[in-house]
Amino acid sequence: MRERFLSRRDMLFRAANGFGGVALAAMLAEDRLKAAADPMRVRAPHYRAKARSVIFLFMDGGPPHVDLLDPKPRLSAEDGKLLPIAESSGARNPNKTLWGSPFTFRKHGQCGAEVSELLPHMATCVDDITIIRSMVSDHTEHTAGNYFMHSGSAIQGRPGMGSWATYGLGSECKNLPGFIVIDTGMIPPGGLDLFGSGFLPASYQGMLFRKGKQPVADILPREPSSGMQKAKLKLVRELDEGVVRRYGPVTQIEAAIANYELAFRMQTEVPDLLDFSGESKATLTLYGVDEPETDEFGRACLIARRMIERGVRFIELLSPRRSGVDRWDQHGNLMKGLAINCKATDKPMAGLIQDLKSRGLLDTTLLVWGGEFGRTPTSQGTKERGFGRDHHPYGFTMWMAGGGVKKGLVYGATDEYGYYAVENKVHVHDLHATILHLLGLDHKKLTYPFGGRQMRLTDVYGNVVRDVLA
Amino acid sequence: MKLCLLLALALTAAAEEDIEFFEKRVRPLLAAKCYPCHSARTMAQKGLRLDTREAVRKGGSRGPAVTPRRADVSVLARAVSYQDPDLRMPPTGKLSEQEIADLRAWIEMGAPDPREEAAAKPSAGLDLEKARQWWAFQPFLAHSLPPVADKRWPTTWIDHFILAGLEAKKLRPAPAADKRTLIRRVSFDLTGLPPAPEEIDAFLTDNSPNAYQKLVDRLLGSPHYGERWARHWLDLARYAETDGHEFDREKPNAWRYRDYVIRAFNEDVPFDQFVREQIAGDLIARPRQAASAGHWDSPVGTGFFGLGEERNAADDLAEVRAEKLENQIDGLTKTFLGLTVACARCHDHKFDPIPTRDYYALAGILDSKRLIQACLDTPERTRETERVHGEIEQVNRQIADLVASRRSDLARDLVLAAEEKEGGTPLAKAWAAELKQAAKEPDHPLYALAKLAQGASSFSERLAALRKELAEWGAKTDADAVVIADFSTGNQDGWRVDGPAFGKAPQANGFYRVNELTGLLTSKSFRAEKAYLHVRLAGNSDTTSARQPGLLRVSLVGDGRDVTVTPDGTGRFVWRTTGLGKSQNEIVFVEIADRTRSGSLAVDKIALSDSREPPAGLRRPHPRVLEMLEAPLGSWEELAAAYQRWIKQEDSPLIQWLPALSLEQIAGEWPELRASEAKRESLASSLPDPVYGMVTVEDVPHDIRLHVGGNHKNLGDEVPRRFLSVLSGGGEPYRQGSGRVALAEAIASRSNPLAARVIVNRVWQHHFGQGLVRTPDNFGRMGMPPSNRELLDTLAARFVESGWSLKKLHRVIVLSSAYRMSASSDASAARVDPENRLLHHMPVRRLEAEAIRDAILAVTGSLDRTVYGPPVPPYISEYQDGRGKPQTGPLDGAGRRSVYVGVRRNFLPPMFVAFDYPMTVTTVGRRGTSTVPSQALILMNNEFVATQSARWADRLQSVSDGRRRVGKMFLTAFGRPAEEAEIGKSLRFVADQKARYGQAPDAEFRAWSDLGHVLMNSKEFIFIR
Repeated sequence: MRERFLSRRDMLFRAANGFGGVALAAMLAEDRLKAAADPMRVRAPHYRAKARSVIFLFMDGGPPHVDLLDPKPRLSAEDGKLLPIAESSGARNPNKTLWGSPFTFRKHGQCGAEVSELLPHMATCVDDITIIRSMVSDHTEHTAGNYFMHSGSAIQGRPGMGSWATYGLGSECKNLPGFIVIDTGMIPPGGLDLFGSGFLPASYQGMLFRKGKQPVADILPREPSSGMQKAKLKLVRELDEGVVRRYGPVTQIEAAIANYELAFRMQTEVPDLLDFSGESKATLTLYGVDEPETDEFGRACLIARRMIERGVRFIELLSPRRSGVDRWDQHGNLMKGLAINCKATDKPMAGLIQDLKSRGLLDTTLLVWGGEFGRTPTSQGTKERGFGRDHHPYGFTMWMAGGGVKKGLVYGATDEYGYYAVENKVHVHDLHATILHLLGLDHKKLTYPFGGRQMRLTDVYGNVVRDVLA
Repeated sequence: MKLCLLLALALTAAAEEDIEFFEKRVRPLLAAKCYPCHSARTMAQKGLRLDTREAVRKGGSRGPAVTPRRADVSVLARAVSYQDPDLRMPPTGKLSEQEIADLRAWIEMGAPDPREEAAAKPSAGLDLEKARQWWAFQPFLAHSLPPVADKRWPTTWIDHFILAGLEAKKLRPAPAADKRTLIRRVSFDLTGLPPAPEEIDAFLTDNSPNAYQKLVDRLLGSPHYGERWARHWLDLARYAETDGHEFDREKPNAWRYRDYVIRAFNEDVPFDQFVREQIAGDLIARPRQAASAGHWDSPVGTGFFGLGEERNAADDLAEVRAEKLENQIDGLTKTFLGLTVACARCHDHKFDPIPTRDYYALAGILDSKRLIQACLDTPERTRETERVHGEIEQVNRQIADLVASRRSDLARDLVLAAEEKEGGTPLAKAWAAELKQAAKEPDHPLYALAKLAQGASSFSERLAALRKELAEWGAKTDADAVVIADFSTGNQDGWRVDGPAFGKAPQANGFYRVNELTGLLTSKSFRAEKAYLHVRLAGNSDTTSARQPGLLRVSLVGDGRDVTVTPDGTGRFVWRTTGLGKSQNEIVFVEIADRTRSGSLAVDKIALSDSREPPAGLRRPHPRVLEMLEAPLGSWEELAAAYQRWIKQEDSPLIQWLPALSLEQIAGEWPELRASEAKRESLASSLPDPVYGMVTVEDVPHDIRLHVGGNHKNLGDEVPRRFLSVLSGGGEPYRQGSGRVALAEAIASRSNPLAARVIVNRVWQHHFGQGLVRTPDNFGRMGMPPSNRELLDTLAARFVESGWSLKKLHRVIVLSSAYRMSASSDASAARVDPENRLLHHMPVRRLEAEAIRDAILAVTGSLDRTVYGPPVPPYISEYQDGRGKPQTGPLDGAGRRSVYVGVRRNFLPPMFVAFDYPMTVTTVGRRGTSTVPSQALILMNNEFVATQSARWADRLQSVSDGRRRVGKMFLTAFGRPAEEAEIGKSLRFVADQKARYGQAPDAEFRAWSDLGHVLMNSKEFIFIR
């Protein structure tokens, strides 16, 4: 015991040529320390994974499915009439007047999927994606809907998909956390708890990656030069040597010492992510970087790709903040607001799909797009101020692409008005089960003991949607 | 009658062949295709079970599953037909045509079904006697001390149990820790703060045999002891000062619960009392006052129930209510009983003897309460308030007399105002303003005067029109209206009064309102079955954000969507109407709140109706006015004279209308009035400030119905309120009020072995890093068994014997030899007992988030040791975003201890979160100790840590000698002198670092500041042995 410990201590302190050296990797060969020091160590999935990583494009507010990816000719034909079918008991919108989409749809690609004129770039990608037109959620209100879409529970403080994925699989990226949220200026209702680790260990909480010089809190050294920080850390390490000598072998202390190596390297890795100098002009154009409308989300998508290349497990992108719109929550003036949102995201998302594809990364990266719910086929507000649509969880659209998902598939359907999902319903729990499945995880086996029982992302629900699997 | 009976018999008695059809064709089909989701043993989706006759008839969220002999309308037939887009069952695929036909045929034959309820119930045979054999439900016994070979080692009786365990495995306890290690350990354990160098010196130089005991007594006597141990308790109480969810609204006075807990620990309130107070502190016989704060303290404990998440824009309020109850039951039973009762919300507990009925028995108790801002004033303070209030009343009477004495002037000026004569007095101007308003309100006593004073038509025509109008108005009915309150009658029965603003009598007509008073009136809960709320109220505008609980308002408080009206700010009584929206048909109570000393509120009437118009019945023309109009009236002058007679009459309501509204204007004319008014205001400002707290109070006691499958839309039988059957011998239902008092007694009782076991285990855990039971919130079958049951039981038994004294419990633990062992682990012991369950050495522990921050403040000399008080607003960095983002507080939290930093659910300090701060969702008896890069990044790069290093360097400037300065830093940070090599390295570091800063004038200061920063980053700073 002593001997083994001493040799590890040697590695801990002597093999390191200063911070950022290779010592950690060598040290991590030792199992016990590995487990404690590195909750992100790569763990085998339950079965062979199709996707290595996930990019969740979360369109906070609720994109209107009937205006984007689920055309409804009958809705247009009966525009201005009253909704003829019985509403769900939880429906919010007191106005029952149908509103046909003011946007035109056209078929695209080999698969012939119909896409709204608002998404000209995504329209070129339909043969790479699966459009699910039969999503169902349980909540009509943003905060509960957001918690539910992330964690399968409408209650605050439960771990979400990103936390579960990293808890289940660890992360292949050693210099960044496994779960990163790219914040383009709008934290959805529900706040940072959407990305918290809940009852899972703190290691699995999402790291917020913001705009600006210091994208991650406390990532930049305060010292005027890196030499000064290194000098400090050298003395820290020397003092820690004394701690290990005096305290004896304490795994947790050794893990905390090793943790400084990771933190140190994150300091350089994070700014590297933002350094686009190695990206070609063509790539930047593909994402719409430097075009005023698409720059913000384009950069976020490009950073996401760079994170994928580094092996980050789960990346969530949030809607970009645009002037003149409140997220994707168009209760009024939808024609204007939706156009702004689509303009801001359409090209960057299509660019992301194409770029991942051309780099051979799309097959191992699962992309998921959608909001916490869709929007009603009925209108809200007045014509003068511009109609809007209300929250609608009874049938809405999401899309998935890449890692293990069928290409060029339109799955499920809503009724002729776009009100209820009627064919091949996919509940949020099913979506979660499917995402975990594609990562090689069985949603029924990925559990964590809390509150007297084994908790799951899918609670006691969820079925893998096998029809969308490639 | 006879005929009906026969018919009924014929309908229920199914023919044998029908039953056979069911058994052969239907039951297997239901079992294969439906039971997986719709049975008692599975989840009963949508509340629907298809595994018994009764359940099929009762149905789920869509009503009965079958309507016998009506396949055309039966939900089951509709679902399997796949015709209804919203209802297609089974979801996995349509049944075959034959199967569908069988089901329809079965329904048409009357759905014969022999399956009985009892067979489906998995818990039908829950044997309580057998269930009570589980160790945790067994009474505890104080065991005699086990014999040990080494008679010299034990110090307190605890040591016999530990040593016997070790000796049985041929292990030796680790040697005693040295005094430096010991004082650092026990200081952090008991107060959460490092020992100061002087304290260490004093302890080292004290060679008396009881030096350590004196140290322990000093620490237990320190107010910082309460702060430290309250924080452990707050982890159990899911403590936060905001609601979370979307807007993270503030919970007013939530922090008083935190102070209550700190005080309870500091005053060593007997733990059973502490438990009782948190469950029913508003009701207990002998409540305690907070000695240091001068208000009732016991009721504040009941804030426990109000600390959870609250939604602010919920769509399904009944669901939210059910979820809140679950959260309260979860917190209550984990915290006080170490049981996971909330598991039984949807189905009988899978592992522990807790049937679903027990859950709803508790839920009924907790549903019979409401949470309000209660006034906590002690009798002394109340007497003082009443004394001043009495003086105010006296002045009010003087004012009334004064006004009455000027009746003639009032009468004259009223007519002048009505006739719009030029050159009116200020009094006439006040009347004119009132008449303008009166012309809009048919129920205003001056309505007739205002309407008839002038107009294009003749007086008689105007009079005829008015008579007709008022007759029609009087004939209006509003059968649908529900009057919630009519304070104009002086009746305040059934309302709970808190604070002085609404007095002992209602503020009828708001006469003589006083701004400085605050208060609250709350009703009992009721189901609001109407679409609109109408309130006639007056007062100042409420400028609070709609997302915060307003300061001057009338609300229907529900579960996640309050319905609120506010005064219009003119001071006049007006009707305000608002829609109930999602709160319609839900349970609410009325809260009339005046929570500011700079503004007032008066409420006259409150009603609910289905009309947008306030109920006519509450707005009837004044009877006296009708009388006046019925009399023959020939001219305007006759009417004016009638009004003048009325004014001069004793107790005329007209007298009351005026001064309340126009005192300011008429006071100039009447200097006596102005003087009285000034006296009243000055008296009011001398009123003591009432103390309010977030308190649970009794509501309408009621049982609630079992939610089948946990579904609030599928209600089963009512379950009588009572305690858990396994712990109460299936005792009698609670009938006294809500039953909270009885519940508190049952939990905090000697006959409940869990209360004491669970708390002594928690205390043990915080001293030794691990509990004797390592799952502190779960003593059920899914928890871990105790590592030393004899010790746990003896601790519990002696704890109860000691009068439930936590301080005595601490003493016996920290004075033991076991606690005083060193942290060096012996290789052979590590082999035999790698998890250290037998306690052969003291484990090394990382400090919690708050202790790390507090240690930084203490070491750098920045700690403000003020005890108690409102929270310091937390520092909000740019990395904390989202709705409800508050103004940031100071970076260093004003130097206050972490327990006083405001706990905003959606904006928890990132440093705390990185170091495993508990989520504020439910009881967390044991925090994680994870290792994440953000911990290192914070200590390396965070502005708070950097500025604290600089402060430390600043304070150290008085120590001029470098070696001595280094020595002092090590002693302060680590509680030990620096080793020679460390001094050398440190001085070299400072010199090198200074050189790196080059010509900067503060190069040396910054180099020293860097050394301080290094020490805080050493693992020795945050790991305690």
